[in-house]
Amino acid sequence: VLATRNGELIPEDEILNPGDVIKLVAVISGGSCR
Amino acid sequence: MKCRKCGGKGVINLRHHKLILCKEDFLEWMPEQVQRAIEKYHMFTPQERVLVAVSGGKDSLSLWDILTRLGYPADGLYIGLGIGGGVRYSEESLRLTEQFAQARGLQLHTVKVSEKYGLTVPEIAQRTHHGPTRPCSVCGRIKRHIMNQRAREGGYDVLVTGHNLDDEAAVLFGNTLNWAAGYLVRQGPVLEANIPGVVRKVKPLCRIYEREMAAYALLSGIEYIYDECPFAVGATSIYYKELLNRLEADHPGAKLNFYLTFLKAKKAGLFSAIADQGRQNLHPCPTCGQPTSVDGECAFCSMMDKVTSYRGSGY
Repeated sequence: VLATRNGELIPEDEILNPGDVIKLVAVISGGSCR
Repeated sequence: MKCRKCGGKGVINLRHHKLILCKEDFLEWMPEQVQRAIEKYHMFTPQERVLVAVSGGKDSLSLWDILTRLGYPADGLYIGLGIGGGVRYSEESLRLTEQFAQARGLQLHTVKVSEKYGLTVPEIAQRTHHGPTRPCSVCGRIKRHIMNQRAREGGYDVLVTGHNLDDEAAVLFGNTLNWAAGYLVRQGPVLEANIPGVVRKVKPLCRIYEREMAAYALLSGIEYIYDECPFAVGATSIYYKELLNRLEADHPGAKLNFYLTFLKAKKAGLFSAIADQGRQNLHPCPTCGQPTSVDGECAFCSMMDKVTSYRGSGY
């Protein structure tokens, strides 16, 4: 997954603060059809 | 985490390239990588007419965006499969694709399977007993047929799909596990149009990780369908992708190396004998004219015959 905040990627070394609203976006897609 | 290019705030770490980039430099770096693949594999030139197969997902819409940014005159082709589920999958993916094309003034061709053949993809799968619960093989067959047909009818030189490195590595992994030589020999960045009736097919994202494609779509503000096709749940290819991601986590670059060394082996002639055999067996389908290796009608026409006879029987 990619972690985002307000539509921006959160760098992997960034420490999150209490109250931060984080959205996790799935990366893997596709089934047998691909 | 600092950007390797400008020293600004890095947002993505591309471990396999040992490269950290900020948003701006990443959005510049991606089209450069795509352009490099187009040139390396001699996919197409700016003078050729390009048709991009778009699904409303992150890969195909990002690819269309990148090709446009690179100056290629690319039109889009959306195939409405008639897949519903709780998320109204096809309806939503068409809406997002149309929205993308309209916002950029791009030409989009839409083919709805239900309007063209009278039934949706899941209905065709059910009525022909080709995967009544999981219509993925029927879906792939129909899409390949329509993509090639529309590209030929539209006079396009090349058909472009958004398969990324993870897609290619997962397919390669599955075919290697089964030693499916017939499939292995056909896999590659370019499927040449050296057979009458076939349009050249290319995959400019074949060296780009799926994670990078998702990041590009997000950082570019491209609105794409987040939901997965309801029939893809539990698919083997997704399981293979997860396995390869575990390998990649411990050995950055493993997926890229797996794919590139396969291409190298193929170029060295590892599958030459099988490739020659496959080409000899191909002939045009007497019904649709597209090449097939089976006797008589191609698999698509044979399947659609079953649909026609089923409807003729009064159901």
